[in-house]
Amino acid sequence: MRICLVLEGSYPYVHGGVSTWMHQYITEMREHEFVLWIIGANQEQSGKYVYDLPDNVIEVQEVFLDQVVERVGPTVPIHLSDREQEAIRQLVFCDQPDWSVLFDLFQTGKISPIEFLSSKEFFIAIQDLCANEFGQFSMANVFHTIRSILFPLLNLLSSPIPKADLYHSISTGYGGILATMGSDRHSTPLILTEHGIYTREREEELLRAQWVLPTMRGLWIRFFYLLSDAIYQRADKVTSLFTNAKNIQIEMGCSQERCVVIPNGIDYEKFTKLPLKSENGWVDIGAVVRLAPIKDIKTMLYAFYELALQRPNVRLHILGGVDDPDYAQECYQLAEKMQLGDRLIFAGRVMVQEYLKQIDFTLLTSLSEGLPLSVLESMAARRPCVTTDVGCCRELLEGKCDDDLGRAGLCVPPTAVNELVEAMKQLVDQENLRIKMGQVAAERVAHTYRFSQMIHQYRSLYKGVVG
Amino acid sequence: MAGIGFELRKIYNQEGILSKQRAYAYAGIVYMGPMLLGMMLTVGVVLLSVWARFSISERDYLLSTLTYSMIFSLLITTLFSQIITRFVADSLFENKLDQILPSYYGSSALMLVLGVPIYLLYLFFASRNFGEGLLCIILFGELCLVWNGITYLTAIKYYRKIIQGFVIAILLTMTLGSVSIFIGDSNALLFSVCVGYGAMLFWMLQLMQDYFPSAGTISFEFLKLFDQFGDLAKVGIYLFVGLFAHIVLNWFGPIGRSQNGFFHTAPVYDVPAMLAFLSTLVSTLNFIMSVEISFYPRFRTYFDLFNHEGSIGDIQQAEQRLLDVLANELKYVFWKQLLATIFFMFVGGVLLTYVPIGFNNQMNGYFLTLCLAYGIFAIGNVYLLMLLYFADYANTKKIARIFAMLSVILSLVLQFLDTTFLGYGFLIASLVLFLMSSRQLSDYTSDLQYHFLGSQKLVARTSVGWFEKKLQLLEKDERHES
Repeated sequence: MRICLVLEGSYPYVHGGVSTWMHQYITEMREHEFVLWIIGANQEQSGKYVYDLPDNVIEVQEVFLDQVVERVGPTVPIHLSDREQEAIRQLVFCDQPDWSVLFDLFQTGKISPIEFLSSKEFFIAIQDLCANEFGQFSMANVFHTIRSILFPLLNLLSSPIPKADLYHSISTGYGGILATMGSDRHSTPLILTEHGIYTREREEELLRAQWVLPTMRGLWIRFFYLLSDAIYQRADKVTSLFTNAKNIQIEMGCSQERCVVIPNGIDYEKFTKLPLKSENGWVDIGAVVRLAPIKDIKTMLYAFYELALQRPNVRLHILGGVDDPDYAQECYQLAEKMQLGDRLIFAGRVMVQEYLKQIDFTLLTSLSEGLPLSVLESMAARRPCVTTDVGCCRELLEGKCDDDLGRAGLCVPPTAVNELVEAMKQLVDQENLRIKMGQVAAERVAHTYRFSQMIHQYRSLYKGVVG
Repeated sequence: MAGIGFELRKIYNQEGILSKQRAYAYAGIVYMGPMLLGMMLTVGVVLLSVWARFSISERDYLLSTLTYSMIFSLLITTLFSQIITRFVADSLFENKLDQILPSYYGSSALMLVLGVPIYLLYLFFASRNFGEGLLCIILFGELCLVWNGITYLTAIKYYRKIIQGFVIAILLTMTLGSVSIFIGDSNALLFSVCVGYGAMLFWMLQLMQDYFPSAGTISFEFLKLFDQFGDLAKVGIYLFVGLFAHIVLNWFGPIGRSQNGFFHTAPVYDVPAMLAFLSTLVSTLNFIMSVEISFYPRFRTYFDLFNHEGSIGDIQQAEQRLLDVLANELKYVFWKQLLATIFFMFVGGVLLTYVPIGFNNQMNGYFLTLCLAYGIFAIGNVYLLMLLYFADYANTKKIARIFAMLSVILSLVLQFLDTTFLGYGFLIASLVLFLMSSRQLSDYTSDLQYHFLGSQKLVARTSVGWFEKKLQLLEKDERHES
């Protein structure tokens, strides 16, 4: 089968949990051919992959949020039908437009994004929006915001669609809408896999973002809900990594019968063979994270600083590349001010499997997660974890309701420095607890989170939707 | 987790995606002034020549040399005037005063480089003697620089000072001319005109140097605007062609007369045309005043709402006020022009029979036709200038082109019909100009919010135009040499 995987801002451009998962997934599914339809932030990324693509990737089609699709041939006056006008109005209102009409409009090249966003038809919809919902707001701000919101989207909708027997998107958002378009235009099945809840993550970012006018935050957030809704309504199957995520998807409008939980899995045997760290006088804590704001590295640094003041025998190893250079710089500066010397190590990207040999337990302070592979790997290697209570972390460490294996680590609220310190102190001080929790962790992964189990479930899913 | 939310900030902040419209406050209201000045001086010279008892052929010859110098110079400056207006307006808006005077020197130099060789060639065949040819070419050069200077001074609203310059030129020409006619040399009167315009040029240069800082440099930066505002430059050229085609074509038609082989004129048409043209002053002056006093403040308020925090309600309210003012002002301009035209047609015709220039029935017929034509043109022109004010260059260009084409084609066709109908070509062209421009202004203002906000370009222009490329090459060469 020829499967089109739609990826946004992840594989194969950057390292990370989703990228690693995707690479292993494609490599394992040898019986299928894959087309990668990948969305990058800007055209400078073109062709710069950090992975060697497996042989069964037969085509890669890149699209970028900053690319501009120009009209081919001369400009002609625009005449829109009533259905097209209505779809445009609803798009501007972020209110469940008839996506098929919009796909048709931009795929046939009847109108280019640039022409559309400077057209009277678009402006009439904006005036309507201002009159109905933004009567007290600056009209120019609403206009420019909607233009900025729609410009990347419409360029994506105007890009060519790779052919496939099935479209499988690895997120909602821009990726989700492309997959929806591919499925709609070629009348083929559509699958959505969410590793986190994309819309909620965008919402959190937007609420903190400085670049958005405070009065326009609501519009941006509405837009991302609109994109999610498009694929939630049309996908044949929607998978999530854990039960809570599935509940959120249902809450956001996805029908229950199409939602399935398929947890991530790892190569258990590879990690469980790793020996426990031999005694060297230190308790070494590992954090397998990219340097990105969503990983909340600053909270991690503050917590470790507190711990280091109270326990002289601890070291923190931060294992992962730089995702956001500005944020990374801020973290380095903060670490320098703490003057922890060799006790705080930014090791960069490493072979996790090898490095884990030097680690006693691991730490994750993310503000948002799905089902983090780094936690699974640590657990399989019999290293307990201290994590924030995000995504699937509590379920991983404490087990589902039908799981009585026990605790595989400690879970604390996000950004709670004191709770993090206390949790780490417990594992630093009690070697027996570390060993016991490590054993529970390995057993839980062996039982529920094996890579082979996950692949089997996806194979069945593909068979089910293609029939 | 996959996603590129943070990247949106970078795209959002990129320059060009949200390109902002710049204020454009100075429309092309300059090209009537030079014509007016030329006419007043011509009337003055005619009066002097009558006083000095020049023969009719000598008088006509002198008038021909003046008219040709004026039309040649206007043709050359028209190529630049709209772009220069825009350049000066932009420089003033951006407070880059130091680049204004160098651009005057640059544009003036280009006008002379383009115009002098062509006019010299013409004079080589047309002039009766070297002295006369020399005076003609000097006059041509002075006129180019004066017309160009008026563009600069109009942009800084030195209307009063320009008029003072007009008065200086006329007084000096008349005084020197009065003395010169006793000398008896046929070139003396032409020399007086040269001195008059020379004094005006000197006066204007002084004004410009007082206002604009100068490092004594020359600059051709303004040429870049030809890439961006090519339409604007063409509007000036088309209007010029439309305004003068009917006059020039008649010189070579059945009522035209040859002066010494090369200079052609048609005094029986030229004099009524010149006098009828004076009636347009009413709407032109009225327009300048109403734009400055009544319209601009409303326009500015409206425009600011788009750049600041104006809600749709604020904008709709300001738009209504703006359109009310516009409708009122256009109504006043229309009525004033109508009264002026009626006054000129009935009273002017009677009065002119008493002026010693041989006003006859044929001339009276042309005068009535042209009064009506110029009256209609004047109102159409006000609509056209409003379109320029709103920066609707593409449609203004389209209308001006149709006006020019009609004026040329119809005037040409009429040469083969009864001479009574001469002037009807310009009349019809003016009528079409009026109808089209009023219709376009009505269409444009019915969608003002779209034109101000909705139609803004989404992606900045990144290509380099022909003029900009040439300038870059020039600058590269200069750096290489230095």
